[in-house]
Amino acid sequence: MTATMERIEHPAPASHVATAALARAEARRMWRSSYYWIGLVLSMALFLVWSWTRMPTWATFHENIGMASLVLAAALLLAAHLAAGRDHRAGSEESLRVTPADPGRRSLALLVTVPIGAVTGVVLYVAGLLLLLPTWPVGQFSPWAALVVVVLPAIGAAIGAAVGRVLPGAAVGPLAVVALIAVLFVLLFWGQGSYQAQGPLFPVSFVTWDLGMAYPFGWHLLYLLGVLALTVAAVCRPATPKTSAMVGVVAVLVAGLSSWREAAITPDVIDTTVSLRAVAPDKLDCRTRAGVRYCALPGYGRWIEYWQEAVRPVATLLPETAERPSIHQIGNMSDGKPLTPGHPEVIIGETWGRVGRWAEDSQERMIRDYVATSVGFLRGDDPDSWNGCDGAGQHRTVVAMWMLGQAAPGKDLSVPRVRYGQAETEAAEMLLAKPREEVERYLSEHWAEVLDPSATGLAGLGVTIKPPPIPVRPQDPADSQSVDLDRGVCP
Amino acid sequence: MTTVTVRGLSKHYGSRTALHSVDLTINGGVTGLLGPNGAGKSTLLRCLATALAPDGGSIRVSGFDPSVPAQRTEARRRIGYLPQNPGLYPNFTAYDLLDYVAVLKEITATRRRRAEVRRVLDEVELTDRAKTKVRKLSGGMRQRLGLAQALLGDPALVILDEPTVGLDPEQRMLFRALISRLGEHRTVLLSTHQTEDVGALCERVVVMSGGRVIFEGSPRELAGVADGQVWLAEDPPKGNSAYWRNADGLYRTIGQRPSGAEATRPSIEDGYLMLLGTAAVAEVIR
Repeated sequence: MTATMERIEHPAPASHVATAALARAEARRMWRSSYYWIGLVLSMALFLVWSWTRMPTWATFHENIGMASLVLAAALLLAAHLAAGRDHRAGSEESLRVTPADPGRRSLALLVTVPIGAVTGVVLYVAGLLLLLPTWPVGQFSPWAALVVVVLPAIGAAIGAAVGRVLPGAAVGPLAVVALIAVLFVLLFWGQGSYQAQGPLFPVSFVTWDLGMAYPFGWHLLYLLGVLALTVAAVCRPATPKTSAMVGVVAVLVAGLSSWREAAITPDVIDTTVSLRAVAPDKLDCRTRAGVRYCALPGYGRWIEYWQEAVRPVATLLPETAERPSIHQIGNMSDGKPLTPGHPEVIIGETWGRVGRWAEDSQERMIRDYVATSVGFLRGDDPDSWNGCDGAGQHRTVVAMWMLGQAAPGKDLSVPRVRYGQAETEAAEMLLAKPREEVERYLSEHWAEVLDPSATGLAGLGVTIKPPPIPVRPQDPADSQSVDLDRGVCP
Repeated sequence: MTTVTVRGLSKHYGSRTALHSVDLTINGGVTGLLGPNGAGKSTLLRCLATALAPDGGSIRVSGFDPSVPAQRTEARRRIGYLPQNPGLYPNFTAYDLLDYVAVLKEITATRRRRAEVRRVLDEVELTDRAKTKVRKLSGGMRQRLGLAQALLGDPALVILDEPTVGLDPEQRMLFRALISRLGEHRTVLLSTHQTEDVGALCERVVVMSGGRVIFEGSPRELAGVADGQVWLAEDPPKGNSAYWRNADGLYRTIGQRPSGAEATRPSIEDGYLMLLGTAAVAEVIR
């Protein structure tokens, strides 16, 4: 062995310089922590599982990424707890106690895990957006909801550091995670029964809010920042006891008041007038493409291209003179009024499949609804059109089946909410066996006749089924009686 | 050279007194602390290393009083400490562990820290194990790594609590060489059960028993305690409770001369044993 004989005295660094160096060392350890990377990968994987199939909206994106960030927060809690408990592990207590870095400085240095958590939250958020490309969330973006994803991992890290300074045992970290999961379950079910799907103290907001409603994301973020400040104060307690105590008290007040405020502005019931005002026709994003009018909710305009793609094969089958139903997107609340009185329209909700089976199902449902509406089955001005009816014998049923066979080849020919029999199926198959141009030409020439439920408009093409007597539709929807799920013969 | 001054130091663990008003002054070089188990050696070293607060008395390390928080930090900046259990994180590599401890010892500049870690790794001959995880190091290597962390920052006072325990003879030789060279320009205080270590390393010896310092002096003076009381005999001596055979097959004993025995030159161990025997007798008389 060799030993340096001459000693060289080095001046002691300033306290903040030494603390910063220790913080950098903790950051390097965190960077190498398997908990950190497993947490990040697991949270991304869970986010993908939850988000992969549906087109993202900002609401669902923030729900899913928020829940995923809880997983990341748990992993950071474990990593930070291990870092904080390092002083007491493997019998190192005595060795480390005699270094110039006292417990206060080591606690302050551990705070570096908090910005690391926040930055990792940003990484998770951005990665979530990138992983969903080329689709991009639609709807109403809330920066406060986005920041929740940044704050939650930071809270996890701060809790880990705070617990680790007090209870450094290796088993305490996992136990703390289990305890917090139990607390989250309690918080999750606390708010059941109110309009908000979870209690205001639950870290992630599940947005079942309607457009136009007050979004308390700002208050929720403030509540989480209060929790973060409280845990940071707990970490800093050995270094700055008085300041930490004051910050802790203020943090509790901020968190308490914010959550109280959030709960106060969260309605127990939906104010329908406010909600409907936000989705009134003049607020919608309406565009006309190839003669079809598409009206999306505010912020949902990007989905019009998906709807257009689904509608196009049906719309091209319709004669020039045919009325082309509009596409009308509605929110959770709808007054059932069509965009233009008397004009048929297809109603669509706030979900759309993104890939695979979900995308195919969305597209297929749109095709079927558009076909059924085009031939007059699902009329927007008919309040009972959501119930099933019997379309047997009606020639428009056969037309609808033929259109489905053309627009969605290989799929079954069922028309939504319309019953029919073997005769209609055979008639449709007979039409499908004919050249498409021949049927199109015929329909173009006899469209009004074909749509008449009591007429035999397809007789010229060899369809021989006979329509039953058609009931008279009430003139005023208010006069309609309570309707059974099955309305009998389609009016 | 760093001076360590201890005055009236006492420490109690419940009703048991570990240190009885210890007075000690250490001025440079290597000082060995000898004593049986429970003599108070480790307690004294822990107090000097600022790992343990004494119940009474005072300590000064280069003039700094560890009982005053600000001065304690200054004292710690001058101390390198290897406890009996150095506490090495099994999942750290040797390099990472030393790098972390270097940061705790306020070696903040990255370049200087890297150089310092390499220096101490080189000193304890673990450079080729820098990237090896601690759990994969042998017991001797871990002990050397513990010494390396104590040497980080080139402390003026190096406190080593039984550093040669569990080492094989070859590694002990390496340790001795290193420690003796460290002592040329630093103050080194080491506790040990090995009187050979004291003879090989120390310019000064402190013997403790029952929490008291019962001897201070040079190794030669310690051996001199048994002068004229060490005997070699061909047969097992009768009446002497402690005797042992040496490499020549002769029986060595201390105390009263057995019949037929011849006087021989005392060793440090003889002096140490003689001293402890006297102290034990004194305890009984008291």
